Amino acid sequence: MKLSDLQTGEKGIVIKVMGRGAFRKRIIEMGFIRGKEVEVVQNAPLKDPIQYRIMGYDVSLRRKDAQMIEVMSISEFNELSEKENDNRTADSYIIPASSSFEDLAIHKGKTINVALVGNPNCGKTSLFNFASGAHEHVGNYSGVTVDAKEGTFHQNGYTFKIVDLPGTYSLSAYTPEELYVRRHLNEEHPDVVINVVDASNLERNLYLTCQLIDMDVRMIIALNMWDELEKRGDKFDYEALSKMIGTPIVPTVSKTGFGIEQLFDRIIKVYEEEDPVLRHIHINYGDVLEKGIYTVRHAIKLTDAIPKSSSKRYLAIKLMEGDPEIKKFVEDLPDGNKVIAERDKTVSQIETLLKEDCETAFTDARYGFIQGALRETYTPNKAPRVSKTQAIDYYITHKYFGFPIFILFMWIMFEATFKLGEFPMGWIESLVELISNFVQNHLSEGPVKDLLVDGIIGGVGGVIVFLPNILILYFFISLMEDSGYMARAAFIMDKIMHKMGLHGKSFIPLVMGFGCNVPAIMASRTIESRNSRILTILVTPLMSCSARLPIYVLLTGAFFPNRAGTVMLALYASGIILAVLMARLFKKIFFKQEDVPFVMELPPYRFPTGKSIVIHMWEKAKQYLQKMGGIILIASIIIWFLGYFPRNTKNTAHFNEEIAKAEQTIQEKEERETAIAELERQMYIDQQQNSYIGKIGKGIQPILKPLGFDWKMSVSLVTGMAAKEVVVSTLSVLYTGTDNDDHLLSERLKNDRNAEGKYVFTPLIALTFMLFVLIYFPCIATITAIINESGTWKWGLFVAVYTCVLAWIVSFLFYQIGTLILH
Amino acid sequence: MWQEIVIVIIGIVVVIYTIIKISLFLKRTLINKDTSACCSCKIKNSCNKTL
Repeated sequence: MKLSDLQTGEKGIVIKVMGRGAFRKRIIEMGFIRGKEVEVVQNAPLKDPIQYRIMGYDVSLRRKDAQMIEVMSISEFNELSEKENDNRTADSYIIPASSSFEDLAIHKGKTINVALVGNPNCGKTSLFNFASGAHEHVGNYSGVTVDAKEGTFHQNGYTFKIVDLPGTYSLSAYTPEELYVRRHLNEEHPDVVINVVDASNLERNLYLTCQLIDMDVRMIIALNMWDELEKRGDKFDYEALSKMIGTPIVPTVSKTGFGIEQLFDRIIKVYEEEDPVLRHIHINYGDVLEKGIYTVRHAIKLTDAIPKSSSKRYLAIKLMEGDPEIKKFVEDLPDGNKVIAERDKTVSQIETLLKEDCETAFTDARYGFIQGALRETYTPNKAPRVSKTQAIDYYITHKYFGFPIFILFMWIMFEATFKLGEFPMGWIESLVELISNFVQNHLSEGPVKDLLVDGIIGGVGGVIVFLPNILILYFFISLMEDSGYMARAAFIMDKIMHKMGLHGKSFIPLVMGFGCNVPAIMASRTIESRNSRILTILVTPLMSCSARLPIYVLLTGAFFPNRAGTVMLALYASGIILAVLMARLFKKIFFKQEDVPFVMELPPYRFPTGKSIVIHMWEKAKQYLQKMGGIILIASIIIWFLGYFPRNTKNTAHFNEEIAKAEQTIQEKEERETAIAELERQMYIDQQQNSYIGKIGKGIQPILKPLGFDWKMSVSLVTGMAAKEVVVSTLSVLYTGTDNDDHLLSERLKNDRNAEGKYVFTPLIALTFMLFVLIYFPCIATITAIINESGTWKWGLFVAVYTCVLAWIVSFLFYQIGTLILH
Repeated sequence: MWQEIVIVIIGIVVVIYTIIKISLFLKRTLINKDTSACCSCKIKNSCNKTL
């Protein structure tokens, strides 16, 4: 709890003092050090300031300043010790067994809140995963982390609470992630900030470092990807730079774990203020700007309403840069208008003198500072060389070869997903069949047996066989993400995206949509303009997610076994083309404003690590299996119930009579068996059609009949709205066939005939069905993500409606034109 | 006979489970305006503020 939360007369023990610079130093000098007892003597009439007693003398603190001191009250201590005695947790080794009040407070103070800040794609999440043992998604392109992730980790008796923040190039107020990071630093006051700097791109990365120096946060630099700098033969005296900027620098390679232990050892030193390098410096912005900063800072100081813990220099710089959020903050202060007037006067003087706007002057000065610092410490390898990245990029992003290579990669990915997946798929199929046969043979006839065999094993087993295909697809997606190819794919598509009205940066969320639409929609947060962001969200569901893959594999395997890769590539391409066309249409209707320009970043190629790929695949497998045990199992049981009951229709007795008659009248064995099988098939169709699900299906069928779909397909599309895999489990449960039918679902689909004896599925219907699945209603989770990210129901509802209408129109045209051509 | 009893029990369990799941989902999306995407973030609603 915070010191300001203590009531009059209450006592507490100081755990830590947050904040920065002179304020923090002064508070500590007053005696607010870890383990000391503090008592609230009294509150002033308006509850501010508050009088405290510490080390025998009284001090008065403002409520806002008291918020920067973390304490433990007696009640909190009692609660904690009770909990400790009842249930000692995994991290209890850092809490002493003989927990006295002071001891507990001291040990609680050994929890260090750490925030990871850095440019996009500099390896923050890899570092976070390595340190905390988490499995967060990483990729070799910017914008993978879109919200804060928390993890805990222990070293040398200290507990580190690490927060992985989204990547950002600066701390201005232009993009959501910049604001997000800045607010986190300002409001959460992490004890130590790890500024992750990409060693292969020092100049740009150090720009953010300069802004963090301005903010005056306790910081340490993780010089990540140090191996790449060494490999290039560059010389970098990071220790000299470290002394120059008063910030410890530790070289790290987050993907292998090199330097991580040393980094956290150094964090402890920084936290305990024992690091010899640590000191606060001011970046020198030159005479003109420095004079301006001094004037504005002085005006801010005079308002007397700003808490001591805020850096006035930082506020002055941001105010002069025209930061809208800081401006609003200052305007709301009692004498805020005076400060703004002073700022306006100063800025106009500076702009006259420098003949450029103030913000540009600050940017130039920061880059000047960086260049100066690097000139003294960094020597690039002068040997002329064409980097590996440049050599590969020559072909990969070539204006003629770029597209064919991209299409070839995609085709290889789908072909491998299908062909390589066939083997493990066969093994799982055999296992499912084995279990099914075991239940068939060992359980007496009855509804439980039917539920187990047709509902549960049929439904869940029908979907689980596609796990290898999904893992192979994810293997390729991870390979492309981690190597840096995905960013090149975005580069190749950038021009088309722009021509079609989409933002170049939209390609990243769209590509992520191949994996799962939900994180893809969340990733659209990195797009600055709201219009582009909403536009991207609207078309992301058209990107074929991995949940649709089982349907494609099932139907292409059944109807196009020799052209599976090509068919799947065509489906994915159709999704992309439709997304682009719809984006153009939506832009014309809803978002007519011009877009902000965007610079596409091309990270260097990196060899993907096995660990990272395995983590991606494992996470996906876990998610898939969780779905099996949850929504797919429940949906399969419900579909089975609705399809199984009622057992008797008005025709059942008639069919039974016919079967009995056939048994008695037909003499020849073969002829008799054929006749009985046909009668049983008719009876089965009759029972299904008259079941509850049959009635539902018949209700929907008129809408989907023009697309060539029968009532069972219509039902599977409705159930698939919960999750796309449910389409397959529903087909599995509904197309059980009669006893002498094939065991494989693909065979059952191929051989299923309606009451007139016509095949239900033809290659054309299969293609139309896959097209419909690709386009229609994404899934409930995606619609929820759209509502959350857009902040309104309107867009969620719009996506639900437009995707269904579009799916119907496209599938209708495809089926009708296909029928015309084929006949 | 025992199979009929088991089927009835399974039916009841599935119905209750489905109702609970749907209510939780509705509660999360309709009542709790805090986005699930921001659950790890301590700055409440910061994403909605910036969107």
